Amino acid sequence: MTFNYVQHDPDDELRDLLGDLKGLEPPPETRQAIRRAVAAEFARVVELNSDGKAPVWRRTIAVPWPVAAACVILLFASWTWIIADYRTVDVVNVQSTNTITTPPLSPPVAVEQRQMTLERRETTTYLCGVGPIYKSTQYFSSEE
Amino acid sequence: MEFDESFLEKLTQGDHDAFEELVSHFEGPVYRFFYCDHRDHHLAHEQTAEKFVQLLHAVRSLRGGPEKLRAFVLGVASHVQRRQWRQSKRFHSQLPVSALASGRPPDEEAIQREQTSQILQAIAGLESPMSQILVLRFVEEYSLAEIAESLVIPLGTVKSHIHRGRIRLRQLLEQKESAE
Repeated sequence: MTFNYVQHDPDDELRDLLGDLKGLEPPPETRQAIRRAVAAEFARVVELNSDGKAPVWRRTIAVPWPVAAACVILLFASWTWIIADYRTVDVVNVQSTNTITTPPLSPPVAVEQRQMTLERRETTTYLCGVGPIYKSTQYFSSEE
Repeated sequence: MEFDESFLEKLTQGDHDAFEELVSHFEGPVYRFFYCDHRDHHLAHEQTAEKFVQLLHAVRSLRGGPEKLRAFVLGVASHVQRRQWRQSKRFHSQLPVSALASGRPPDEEAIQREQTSQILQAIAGLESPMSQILVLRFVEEYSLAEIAESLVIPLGTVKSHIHRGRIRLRQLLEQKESAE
């Protein structure tokens, strides 16, 4: 067996060499097996798609893409709104807990400088073996 | 055979006759694609049948015009191949006589059979995807772009595989020739 190489176009050389493989066809039993497999799959697909036969969880629905896109946008917007709202409430809560209301200052016409002192008293009651059971905080303001 | 838009439309809508036509047109190339890779007739037989079953579902997602069909079909074939990729590389299954029957005189047919067998051995000696690329290019006459699309590899890689495959195939055949 000899393979003669002609030094021309290397692609043509390969094409000639591999050209014999074009005659390699699937045998009749392979052709029949392919058709049988395809026919069986077609029958299965038709059965699945026919209404009333397929179980609910195996049925599919077609949703137009604008509807799907609108749903995604709505979902995203609602989540954004919820998160933004949650953060605002949080900030307000922090502000309200940290704010100490002080009595209104006297008008600036006063010549005498007054100094306000703010005293904080915290009382905690402990129960042996349980820990703190009561805690109270009191603020006292006084002016000198 | 040329496929047109109306054929493609029927195909994507699940028309049975259109799919039969597709099978008739592509069963040869797909079978060769698998067989040239491992030279196992039974495995190629199974893979070809499985591939068309997968194609029946995949064809609904076909995008683009009829010019995309060849690359799409072989693209699905290469997926099947990758999945089953040499799970068992069995070289015991000989090609049936009917696969190469060409109506020639028996002695010529025997010579052709021997030559084809040697070429197949040489191709199977190439690493993947070089062997598939050579088969698609020089047996099925796919364009470079179609091969790149089918096997999902860059065009430059296809070109370099063809160049290196040509050299390697020649070496393998020369080795075989000198061994005889």
